[in-house]
Amino acid sequence: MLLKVVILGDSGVGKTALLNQFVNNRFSTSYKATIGADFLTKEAFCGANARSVAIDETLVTLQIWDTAGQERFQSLGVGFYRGADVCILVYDITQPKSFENLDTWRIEFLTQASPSDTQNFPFVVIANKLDRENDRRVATQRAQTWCAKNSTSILPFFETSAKAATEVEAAFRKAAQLALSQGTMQADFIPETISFRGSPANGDSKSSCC
Amino acid sequence: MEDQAAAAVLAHIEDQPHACLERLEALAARGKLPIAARGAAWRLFLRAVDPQKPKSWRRALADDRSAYAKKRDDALRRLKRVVDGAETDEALEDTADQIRKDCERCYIDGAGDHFAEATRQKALFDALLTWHCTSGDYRQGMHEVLATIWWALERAQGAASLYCPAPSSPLHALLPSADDLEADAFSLFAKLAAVTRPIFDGFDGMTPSPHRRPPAVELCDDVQGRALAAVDEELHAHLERLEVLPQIYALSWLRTLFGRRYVADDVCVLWDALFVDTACLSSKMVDAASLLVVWDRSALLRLNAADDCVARLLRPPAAPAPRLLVGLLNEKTGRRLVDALRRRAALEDVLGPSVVGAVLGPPDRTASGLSEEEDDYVDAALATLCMSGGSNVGG
Repeated sequence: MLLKVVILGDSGVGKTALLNQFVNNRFSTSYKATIGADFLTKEAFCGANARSVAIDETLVTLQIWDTAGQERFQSLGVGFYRGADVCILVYDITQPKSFENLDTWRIEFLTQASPSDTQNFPFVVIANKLDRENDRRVATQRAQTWCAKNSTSILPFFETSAKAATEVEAAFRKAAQLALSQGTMQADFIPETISFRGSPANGDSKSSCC
Repeated sequence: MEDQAAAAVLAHIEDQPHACLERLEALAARGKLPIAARGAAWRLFLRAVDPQKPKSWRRALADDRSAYAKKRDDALRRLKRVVDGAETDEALEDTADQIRKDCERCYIDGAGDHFAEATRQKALFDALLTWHCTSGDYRQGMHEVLATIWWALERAQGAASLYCPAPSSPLHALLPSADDLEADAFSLFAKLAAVTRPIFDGFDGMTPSPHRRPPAVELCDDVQGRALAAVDEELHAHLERLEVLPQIYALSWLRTLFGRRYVADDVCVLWDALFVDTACLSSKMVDAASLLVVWDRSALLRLNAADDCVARLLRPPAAPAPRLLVGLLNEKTGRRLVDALRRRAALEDVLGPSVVGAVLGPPDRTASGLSEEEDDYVDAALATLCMSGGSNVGG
């Protein structure tokens, strides 16, 4: 099963670094600015709810879309966000502005992606750059309040460091889990994901030859 | 070598500017412009000086440099007032932050950590802020374009170290000067930004709709649509059928003027050709981008899902040698490339890709063994790509 994850947030908060840490277990000090968009895939076993035991776990392919912080939906088009199963909002704990912009990112995502159930569409919030705790300018409490205000249920919140690999795996797993339970709750969401077929590895079949 | 070649090309620029410009354009269009002549050539191509009036060059460049110094001081002063709270301009503060972040992570392939150096970063920041305050909206990608111009000027200057025209001559004025790198890079960047406007134009604060799309996205559509269809109907139909969104892969190619596809020295060769006749710069860029899609046609045609194609286009194999791309652009048809790649794919089907790779070499090395002097360079490069003896492949 393929789940589409979209990562949004201001420029320079560490979206590309988080993605690379999660998919490749790597961190570089020299990431270029993302221009337009990019995506990586990763396969993971994942349960639809937190209490599920191993036997209930499904093999999912996470297709994770990284976007340019400056792009603000304008160039990528509505079609790009349609069919997203979960959205990860990222800010930088040393940049209050990037936290304040979470509102804009959330609203713009809902407007452009127009999921069938706007109220319950799953978001995960990531506060990145925990390795720079000494430069912190956004208190944990403040972010937790924001999360509580913007969700009817619980909006999961993780403080991560892409550099030190702190909580990155947990945050993405949570996102996958929410996407999966969303998919099982809403049958009308599943057909959209069927058009995405498999991972790049399976494009090689030669069955149609005479 | 380099400075001698440049000296030969530029020798008559003062008494026969028209003929000399034509010669420079012809070399650039074939990917054969000497590195040491690049700074002078770009100034002429982008009309940073009037090519027909050599006597005006010294004055024009001096005026440009002092105008830049003044504009930069104004921009920095304005930013300081905003930062100090004497003036409110949240948008300017945000953009300045954006530019700073981008300059701090300006890694140009093939330039090592040249731009990690603090004074260069500061110079790039100042120039981009100045441009933003005086000429248009800064967009990501511009930082790498400016850095590449900077790189080309520094390289030209280094290559020309032995080449000293009389200090009072117009040609001397035209060559890059170490003391004025920032102002000169700014001036070329401003000219280039003006002619590449559609690539960078955004839609700030506007909701996209099927009827109103940013010009950059329309150019991306042209890459996979008009331009690709003109040379490779099969691949065009394949990508359209899968509904691949071209802006996802093509935007970063266009916004960096292919800086994300080539190392710095190679992208400059491509730029030489693009800057000849800037009136059709956008359409040449679209054609070049579509040829880069064609370049990987065999792999793309085997993929049967949009996401797989996009993934491949986002992490493509090495691009063709810049001289081959430039040569094909100049011919205004990439059909011969399609034919050569079809033949190569047919060989691969029979012999297997590894055998073909071992015998013919990797595709991007196609041009490496060919002489710089070769006049039928494109014919020869295409022939070595697919082991075809004759020119006029597919006639």
